[in-house]
Amino acid sequence: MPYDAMSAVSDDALLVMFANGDGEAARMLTLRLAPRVLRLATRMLGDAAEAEDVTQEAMLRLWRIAADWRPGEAQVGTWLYRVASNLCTDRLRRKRPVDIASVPEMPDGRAAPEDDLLDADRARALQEALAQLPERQRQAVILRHLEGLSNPEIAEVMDIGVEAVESLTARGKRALVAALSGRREELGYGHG
Amino acid sequence: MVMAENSDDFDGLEAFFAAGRAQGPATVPDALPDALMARILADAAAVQAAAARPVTRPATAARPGLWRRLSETLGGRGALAGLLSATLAGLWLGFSPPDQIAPLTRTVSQTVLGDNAATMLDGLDLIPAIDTVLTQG
Repeated sequence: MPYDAMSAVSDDALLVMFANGDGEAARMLTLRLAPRVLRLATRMLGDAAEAEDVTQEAMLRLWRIAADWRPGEAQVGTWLYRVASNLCTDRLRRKRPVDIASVPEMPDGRAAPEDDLLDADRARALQEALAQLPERQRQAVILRHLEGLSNPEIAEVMDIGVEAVESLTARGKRALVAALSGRREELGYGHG
Repeated sequence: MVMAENSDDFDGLEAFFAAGRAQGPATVPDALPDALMARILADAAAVQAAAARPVTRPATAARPGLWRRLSETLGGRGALAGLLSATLAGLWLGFSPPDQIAPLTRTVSQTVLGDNAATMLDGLDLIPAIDTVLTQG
């Protein structure tokens, strides 16, 4: 099937096509889903190599479940988020306490307008603060405020109730405020 | 208690989230690295190949037929031939018993059972003619 035609096909249908041996369906699903998984894993782990490993593992689990997938029962994207989140949480628990030094530095010699640079610094400060949160709070905050999932979607991903999601994000944000409070002025939010 | 999301502190935090969404950490890629894409697709191809491979069962010898198993149970072709001969002979004796059979039966029974044999074995025929069986059921 041509690429353009496949772009209109649902994730469910692509997974069925994959299970039937369609290699192009695998490529399409990877292009569609894997970048989001990689972004989530990078934000949660703060380590590019580990995030890539998690992404590959999550996608492998998707390939393996394809033959048993029941279209309509769950969203492929949500299922994949869940698998990736759990893989990240497992890794975070294995390597506690979080090594702040592992949070990636900005690349050197980058020519950028001052505003962009400030934004990059703020983003990095946020990443550092996120790395200090307990993994469940970090997971909930990232899914809600950086990935833009709704609370019910996060509840499904994390296998908890919506109220528990709200509680986790609230506690996480409170901790972030405390962690970032000393850097607000430095990062241009002194009067925010 | 869930803290209100639009408190002053959280308003300030939202600015960091906006920066995080817009910029992200340096290592958050815009697109999938080629090497990772290749690894993922290689996994996909391997899973598809494994699913397409026919299930191989250990080769089992064909189950021998009824006559072969019967022949092996009884001891081979020779034994089977002997059994067949005996069966045919018995069938022949049933159809056409020799005249000497009745006196032979009497002699044997008297030897084994004594003088009362005639009374005890009245009507006994050691090799009955098959027409008697066919008639009386």
